[in-house]
Amino acid sequence: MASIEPIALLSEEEKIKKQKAYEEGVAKRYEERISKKQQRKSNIEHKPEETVDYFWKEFNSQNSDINSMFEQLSEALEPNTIAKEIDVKLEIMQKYMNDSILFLNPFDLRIAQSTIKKLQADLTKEREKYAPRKKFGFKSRQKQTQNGGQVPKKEPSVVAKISPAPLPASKNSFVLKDRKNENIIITPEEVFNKDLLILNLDNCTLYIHSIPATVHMTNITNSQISFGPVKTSIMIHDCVNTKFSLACQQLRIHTSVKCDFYIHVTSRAIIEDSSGLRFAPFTNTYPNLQDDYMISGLDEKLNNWAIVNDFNWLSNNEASPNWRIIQEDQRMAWK
Amino acid sequence: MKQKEKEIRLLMLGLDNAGKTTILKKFNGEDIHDISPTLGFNIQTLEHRDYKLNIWDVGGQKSLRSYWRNYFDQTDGLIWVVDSGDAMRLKDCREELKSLLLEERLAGATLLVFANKQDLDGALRVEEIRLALGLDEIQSHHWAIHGCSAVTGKNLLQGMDWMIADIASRIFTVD
Repeated sequence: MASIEPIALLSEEEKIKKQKAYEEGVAKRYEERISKKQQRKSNIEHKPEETVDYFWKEFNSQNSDINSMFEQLSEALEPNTIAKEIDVKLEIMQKYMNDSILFLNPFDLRIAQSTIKKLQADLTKEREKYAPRKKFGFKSRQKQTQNGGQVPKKEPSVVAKISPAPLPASKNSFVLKDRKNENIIITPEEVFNKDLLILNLDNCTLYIHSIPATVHMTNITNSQISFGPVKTSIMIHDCVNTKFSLACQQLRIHTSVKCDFYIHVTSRAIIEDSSGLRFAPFTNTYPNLQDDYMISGLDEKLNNWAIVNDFNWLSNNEASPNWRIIQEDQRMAWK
Repeated sequence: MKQKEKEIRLLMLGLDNAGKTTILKKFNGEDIHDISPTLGFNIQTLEHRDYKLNIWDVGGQKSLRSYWRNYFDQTDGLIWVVDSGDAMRLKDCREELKSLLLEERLAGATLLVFANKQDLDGALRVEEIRLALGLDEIQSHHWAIHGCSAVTGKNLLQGMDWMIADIASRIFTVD
């Protein structure tokens, strides 16, 4: 259904017709866009400034308006009317933010977004309080996130029926899974330039002194894991109480707790939905490590191990409570 | 033809670690070695084949996905990027895409699926990804899937050219 009529099959006349329609379309759309742009421009010109400061002044005043409406809500005779008004105000606020997207930096944008999210969540909660109890119905299961519902999970109201398709396993991957209480050493040839998949390890030590192409690790507990340089990214999900020694371009850690990372990262590490993580520089060494750096193409001199972005902690000023640096005297010796 | 500004707005989405930013930078001829996971979004405006492309690359982390909708307006084309080496999350990938395709504000958009990381030895083939994502069931959008490698740049141009041609023929000739 995605095919486009091949031009070559059209007659000369049709070609010219098509070309003309095309040019007219272009012109029309161009004019529309220009006029829209001008409209937008003139709107902006009426505003004092299109700056972040101005945005926050306006945004915060809308925010405090809504907050004071929330206060009225508890004493109001007709809370539903006020709830409706709050809803309208929230929509205006959302629109104001959307219109400001172009000049806000990502950090400001996300703060603004989470402010709105929080107000929306508050409103839903209030509404549930005042709404007449339904006679019957399905309980909506809303999971409270840890940080006060700042990042609500998106639950699409209508999910298209998805016919189950078998999930193929990657070829040429090296898969290690379902191991317990083992010391595992993998020979370099086994994983060289392969996609490495490690699943369900408990109480294991795993040494891989080679260069995988890319790495995924899921559900590893009480273990010790060590790799040679990975030129691309390492993805980690659901790990607990495990020590890692890793060198890579990007490190992405998700839903993990109480893990230590001794890392060499040339861009930076990120964490999401995780806590109790600790970081230290990569100190591991093995006979061919230098060569492996060379072969992998990973820059040995560039290490941003101490720059960790927490996707659940957006403040620039305060450190995330979800990770910290391991004190020098507490670092373990890798070998 | 007269030199007119022909602006196309493209939105690039996909799960985290799919390679969205790398595609964007590679396509624009920038260095791709120091790319960090995207905290927020990147915008790139570039001239390509007589068109002005505004490409929005929004972070794919789970905690960012609920913000995707803020970028839907006026999207001419949706680029859905898939990590072909990540078989484990293909189901997630399929579900996120399905729910996007139900979005009213994306109703008119052309869909280009990039099966990225084809340079990896263990990468799933384009056909496998097409099946796993259930693309053949899509009736609501013009779509195509292209295998590509953001690292080598292979097929990026081909995919983008398909998308631009489709958008151009749809928007600029059908009225």
